[in-house]
Amino acid sequence: MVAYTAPPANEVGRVIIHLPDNATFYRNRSYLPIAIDLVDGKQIPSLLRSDEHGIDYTAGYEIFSALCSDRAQRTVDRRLLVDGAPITPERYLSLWRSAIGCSMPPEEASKTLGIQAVAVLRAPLAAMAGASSSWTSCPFGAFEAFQAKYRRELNVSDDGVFTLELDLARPEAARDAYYAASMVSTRLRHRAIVWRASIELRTSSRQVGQVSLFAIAEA
Amino acid sequence: MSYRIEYQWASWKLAASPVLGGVDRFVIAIEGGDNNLRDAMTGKRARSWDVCMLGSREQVLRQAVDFAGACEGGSLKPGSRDCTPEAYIRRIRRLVEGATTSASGRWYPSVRIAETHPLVGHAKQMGLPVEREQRYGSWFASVRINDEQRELVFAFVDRFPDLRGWHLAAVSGLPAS
Repeated sequence: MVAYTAPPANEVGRVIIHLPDNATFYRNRSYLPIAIDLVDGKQIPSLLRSDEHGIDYTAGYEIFSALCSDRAQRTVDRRLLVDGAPITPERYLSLWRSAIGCSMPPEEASKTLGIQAVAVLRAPLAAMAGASSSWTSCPFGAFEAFQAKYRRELNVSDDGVFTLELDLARPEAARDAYYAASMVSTRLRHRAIVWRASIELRTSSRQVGQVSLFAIAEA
Repeated sequence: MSYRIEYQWASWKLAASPVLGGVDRFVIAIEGGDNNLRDAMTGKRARSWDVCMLGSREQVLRQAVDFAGACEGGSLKPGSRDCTPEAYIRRIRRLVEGATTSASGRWYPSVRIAETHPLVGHAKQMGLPVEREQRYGSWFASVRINDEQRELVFAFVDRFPDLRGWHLAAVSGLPAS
């Protein structure tokens, strides 16, 4: 039998952020599912699916795919506890189903829970010249249109690498980040160039430290 | 959209013994097939029995959870009906908790894996015969285990948890739906 030596993870909350309907071209609502683990007395939020090379929001059914390929399996042999106690995978999945029913927009997650979802885009600016998205629904004809919209926030370092951080609570930010990431990915994914397009979670300790706030997702 | 349908389930329980690592072991076979694949002769949807889950109670449940991930998006439909992952896991849990030796049919070791899988080297170290076998244009390694050694498949699933039931065992004699 496989012996697991690492201490079990202790999940103490679940937060589901739902994104605006125009965030992608898919008809179904897109989400950012976030698990809150208690680590050394601190509540640490993490995305169920994280990727440094693509902004892929999660469809409802994909939340369960992600859970069933990792966290829900770990409940079986108690490598994942909920509020410090063992739980069956069936019950565990039902907690997440309840959390989906209580999903909230990014601005609410930021205001009430202190969890800020930020899209981070980073790539050599010169390499993006003339890049376009594979998607016809992209609101930007070429990368330059995106660059113009966010010219004030787009930081370019001395070596010509731009970094843009977009708070998904801002109007159109989720949509713009999605299509900008698709342009970066389409242009750079097969080239030996360092780039990044990802979602990061930022927390304000004032809010996340309060366990009771996660009663919203537990209800 | 294509999806897998599961039609029937069968289970075997092997009571705990030293050769089984001291815990009960289970073999779960499922008759299933794709919704859009039909038998050329009968016109019925094609289906077959396969060992899908195998191991201790915890190992089988973990494998069931993995399978269940396909239910929510409609890629896996027991009885051709929509099913939540929770309900699917409950179904397999009932099979494990009520497992009895199936009245008809039997399971037997049938180890067929990629030639590069570390089990190949492990089997050779154990002195088990390993043969090359070509299936659908790809080469596989087939580890020969006789029925008296069939408990070895549980040791393999302990050591190589990436392997699925159908890599290690097969069934015969179960009734087709």
